[in-house]
Amino acid sequence: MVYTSDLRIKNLLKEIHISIVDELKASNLQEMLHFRIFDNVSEDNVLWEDGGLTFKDPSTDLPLGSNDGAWYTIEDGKDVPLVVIEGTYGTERGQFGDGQMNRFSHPFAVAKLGFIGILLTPYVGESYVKDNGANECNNEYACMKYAYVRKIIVKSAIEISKAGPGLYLVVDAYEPEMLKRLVIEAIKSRMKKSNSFSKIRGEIMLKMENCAGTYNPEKRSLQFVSRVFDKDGREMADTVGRIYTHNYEALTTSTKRDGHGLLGKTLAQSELYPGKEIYSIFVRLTKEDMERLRGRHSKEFTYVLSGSASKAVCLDDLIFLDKDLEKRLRAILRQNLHKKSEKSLISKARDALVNNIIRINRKGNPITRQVGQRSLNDITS
Amino acid sequence: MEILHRNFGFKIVDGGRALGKMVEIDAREAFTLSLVHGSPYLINSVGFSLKGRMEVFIHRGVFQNNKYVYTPGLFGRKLDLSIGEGDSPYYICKRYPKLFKGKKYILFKEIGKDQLSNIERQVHDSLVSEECDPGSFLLFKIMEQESNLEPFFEYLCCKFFGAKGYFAEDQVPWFQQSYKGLTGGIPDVGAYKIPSLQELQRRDILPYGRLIQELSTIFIWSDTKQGENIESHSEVVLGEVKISKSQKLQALQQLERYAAVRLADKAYAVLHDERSPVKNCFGLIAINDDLMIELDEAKNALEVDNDLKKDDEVWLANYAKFYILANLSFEKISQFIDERRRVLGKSQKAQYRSYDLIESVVTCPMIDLLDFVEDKLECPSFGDV
Repeated sequence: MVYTSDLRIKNLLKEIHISIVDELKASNLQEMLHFRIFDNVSEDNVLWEDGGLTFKDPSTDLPLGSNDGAWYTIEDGKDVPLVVIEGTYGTERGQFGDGQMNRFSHPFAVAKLGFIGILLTPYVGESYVKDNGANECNNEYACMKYAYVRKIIVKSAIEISKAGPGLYLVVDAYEPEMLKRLVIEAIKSRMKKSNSFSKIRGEIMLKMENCAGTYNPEKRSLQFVSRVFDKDGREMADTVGRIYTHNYEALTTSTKRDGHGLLGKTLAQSELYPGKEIYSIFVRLTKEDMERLRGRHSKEFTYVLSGSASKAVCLDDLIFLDKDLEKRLRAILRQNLHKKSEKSLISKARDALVNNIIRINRKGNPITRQVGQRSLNDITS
Repeated sequence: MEILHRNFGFKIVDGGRALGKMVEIDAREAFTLSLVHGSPYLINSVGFSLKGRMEVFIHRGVFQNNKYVYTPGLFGRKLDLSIGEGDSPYYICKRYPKLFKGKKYILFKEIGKDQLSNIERQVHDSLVSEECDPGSFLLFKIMEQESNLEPFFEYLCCKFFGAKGYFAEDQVPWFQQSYKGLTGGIPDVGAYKIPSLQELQRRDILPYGRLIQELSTIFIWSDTKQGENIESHSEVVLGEVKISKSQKLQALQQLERYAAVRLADKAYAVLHDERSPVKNCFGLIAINDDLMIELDEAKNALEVDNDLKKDDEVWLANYAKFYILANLSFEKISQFIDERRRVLGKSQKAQYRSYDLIESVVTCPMIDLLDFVEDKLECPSFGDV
């Protein structure tokens, strides 16, 4: 069966389209704007040039996630995207955290190709859960928690939009008028008619800025590694890292969809540090796991393991000066972290990476200033 | 076409050279078809399908500490998180009154494996050029790759169980994720006997259709047929649909997982081309050589946990109440919440949130809810419905 969240988004887009066409009649542009949408997800997965809703990232030529619908114009017989939408009601369906990253990659390539990619999602959702609801709804019938759109998504989208050539906008699914106005002004702009495209873009960007606030991943994330060291213990210039705790099972079980989220995270992360090299450090994957993942040829892993967004390294690519820490990490390779999160161990690993106790077995481009090596006990005590 | 004709008596008509053979149904049957199969009404160039619009709960209580895991859909949500007009039949009727009246025609279109399926505009425009009213047509796509056969079989099952006195649905609120270590997914079909709905029959306000969502259509299509009994015992039936018997193993694996919850009384594999029984504890629904839907009951009954079942009976009765309440306008639903809050000793609010709605409905006895709804029930005067 098709998930209802997808159906809801597609139904909403169709109604917005009809409303747009009605309004465009006043400026006689209704025949210029076309709309592409499918019932079947399998058709969303077809590349745009073949009639689908999937785009390739121009920097890697690799396809990213599919979208739910697109408005386009026809120029010289070719369908040229105008506004492409990926939508999700995840914040109303229990996606409080990383689950939201599953969709981040979908409009990414659209923006990188110079068009307008939209993530259509409720900025705030009431997500009903089985226990521990918010004060106003925590009774014997229902427990509700608020889920907010992840700031890393909004912040990265802002950076993508600033860098251009296209836009990556996050629009609230409960503000369909905003999306409608954007599409109308975008088509007027493309058709060189007088328009208020800048105004509506500014309104959406302002809302995104207000949402992202002063978000700083370095302060927020337990897994962000502010500096990394090469095999000779030299700090690598213009390089940061991020620890990923996915293991092979998490990345290959379809119900977990972690591969999807992983791709979203690595892309979002790369946009927050333009010009820096990023190491994606998989502390629960071995070389053998990496090879097996490569062999699966899935869209997500191909991108993460060979894309330009980051360099992927695994546990076997790390040099541990603290052998006990290595042993402890190896001991949780197959553990279900949903049952026991091992946050303090991951935090220790991060501190060890930042402080030259764990090194990456690569030759880096060193910076001139070098820091001394501290023991793990010094760091954590 | 033949399956629809033979099983439900739908009339096959000739639309001439331009339209070919079509199936003629009334607006009520069209509503059921669109809701389950997803066939869009061609009222505009992108089509309007009812599928997926009327959800209320994502999960079933038994998987969620007996909590109601709600989602907007049938009832709407505004930007400020308050509840509002949703996709209930009442509001769909307000937006598109045409859907609710007159004859409808199912237009069958084959789509080759190299063709894209978004043909709504093309078909809509061709109807206009033939001087037909596109709003009277539903588009039924037949994919060469058979990728859309599953919702068709779901539709057949819903109709089949509906005729046997069940209230059926295809968007089953049964998301079995890591329940007692088993992740089973979502069944394709659910059919329920809900004893508290006998009260609808007593009041002669049973809906015409027997989808659980059609409890929201009493305002326009209440059933005047006598003699259909809503039974006094509860029952939960699940079905897993696959497009051919080659996927029998997968269907059985999923049924095993649903059965392990020990809540369903019966479970069926829906394999249209299977002829032999599938397993002792699961029944089979197939299409026989005469194109008739055939049900083969399981030899053995499924094991049921009675405590769990008791909780689920309450959950199902409450689930049905939400659909009954959705026969009313949003203003009247707000009045209902006001009244319930008075009963519960709580103050009224200018705007209500989804949890206020949940509390008001689940604490309200079925009889009181029906008294309120019946009193306020009115067919909206949206033009010439």
